Amino acid sequence: MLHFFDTIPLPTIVVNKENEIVFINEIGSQFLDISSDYFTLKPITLLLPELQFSTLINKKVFTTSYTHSTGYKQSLTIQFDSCVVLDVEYKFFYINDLSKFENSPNSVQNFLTEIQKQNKMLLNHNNELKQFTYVASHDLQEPLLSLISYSKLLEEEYEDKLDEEGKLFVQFINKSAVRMRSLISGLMQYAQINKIEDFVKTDLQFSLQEVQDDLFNKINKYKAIITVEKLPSLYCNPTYIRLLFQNLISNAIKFSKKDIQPKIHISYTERENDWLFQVKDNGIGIDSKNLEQIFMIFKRLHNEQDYAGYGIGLAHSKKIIEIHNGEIWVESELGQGSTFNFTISKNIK
Amino acid sequence: MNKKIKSIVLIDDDLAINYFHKRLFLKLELGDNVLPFYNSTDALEGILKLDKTHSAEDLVYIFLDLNMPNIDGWAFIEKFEKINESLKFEVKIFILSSSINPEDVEKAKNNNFVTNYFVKPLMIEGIIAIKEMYS
Repeated sequence: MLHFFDTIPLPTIVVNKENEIVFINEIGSQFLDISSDYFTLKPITLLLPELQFSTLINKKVFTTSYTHSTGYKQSLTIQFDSCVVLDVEYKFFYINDLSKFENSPNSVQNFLTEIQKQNKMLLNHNNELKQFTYVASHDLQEPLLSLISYSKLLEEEYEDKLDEEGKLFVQFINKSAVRMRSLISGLMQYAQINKIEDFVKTDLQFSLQEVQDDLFNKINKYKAIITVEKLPSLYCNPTYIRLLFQNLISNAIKFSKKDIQPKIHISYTERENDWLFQVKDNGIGIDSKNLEQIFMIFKRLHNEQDYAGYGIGLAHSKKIIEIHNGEIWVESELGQGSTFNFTISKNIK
Repeated sequence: MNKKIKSIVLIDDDLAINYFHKRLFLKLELGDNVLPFYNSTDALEGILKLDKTHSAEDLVYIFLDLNMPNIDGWAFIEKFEKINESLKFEVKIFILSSSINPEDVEKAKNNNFVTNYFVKPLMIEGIIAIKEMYS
């Protein structure tokens, strides 16, 4: 994790709770002209003897003196910061005096150029992805449309001339082409769920009612009982969150036990930094070895004959939750129902 | 190598592909008892049952898809390893996959239980090649 600081274009020293040096980034050891290995786990006062811990305040800039190995003494401007990472407290000293190391081999200018280069690469990747999505939605669809329409035509207009097996072949062709079309559009939608669009205050109670209206036929057919706690209003992308609830509820119905009425309960807990939602069902459950795989695109646990589907819904859901700075996971046991949990961060706006 | 191919086991979750291969195997007379299965669990059960009707002189070909829901092709092979000892007859496993990923091909080559790897669908030439190479 600490190697992240190698990407920061400022000499940086990371110190632990005991005020021992745990990391000096590359530019830092160049600037201070020291071996970072040598100073690892040595007190920072060995490097900066005049440091006064009692006066350190976050985001505060202070100056202190530093003596190079050559004996040359210089004054450093340092910005101090601290934070807790994975339950461990760290202090950060960013040496802020740019003029002093302009002559060093890795000058700020070089870093800026590097960052610009990387930004450009990222833009290129994004453009490629857009192009890929466009190709998937147009060029790949066209031959499929021919397959779908001509196989249908063959089935209808040559009904008398085809024997039973001939008709079966045509159906195989048609079904496969239709499936391929759905897979491509699922992949396409998956690629498109990544724009951080405007988050708006949304009444989830209302969203969930809409979802239930959309799923009316399915809910009716399975006689599913859906109970919902009074849900909050919060900032989110309403279209995506509706899609998410729709995926989870329709999965809960689809993977219900035979001859047992599907019961789905939706609840939530407000926590300090996020909202935790739970969608609990009494369905067939999931084998513990598959609890993570189910969120991968096109991953399916059942045969088409047993449970129809494309392996897209949960992958979409995961991506939707990721753009809400949240997490999604499932607790389940085979035969014991499943509880899908997800969080929506309060810090997205 | 003069054992007779008594049965051919097809394992693929795709109905259409199983039908296609079964038809082709029968047409080209690779074997006359072709058993399609649509998941690994049913296939393992079916293979165990063959033990009642097959003897040590018999050969069974398994054509195995890799990408299947739940127990995929590789997991099938792991499970098969455990029952193989108990089987009277000899088994040859051919992987039939739509994957053209070189990693899968390499993995198949390095697996002792895999006789060969073919990209599906098998066509007439492929079946003729299998006949020439292995029987």
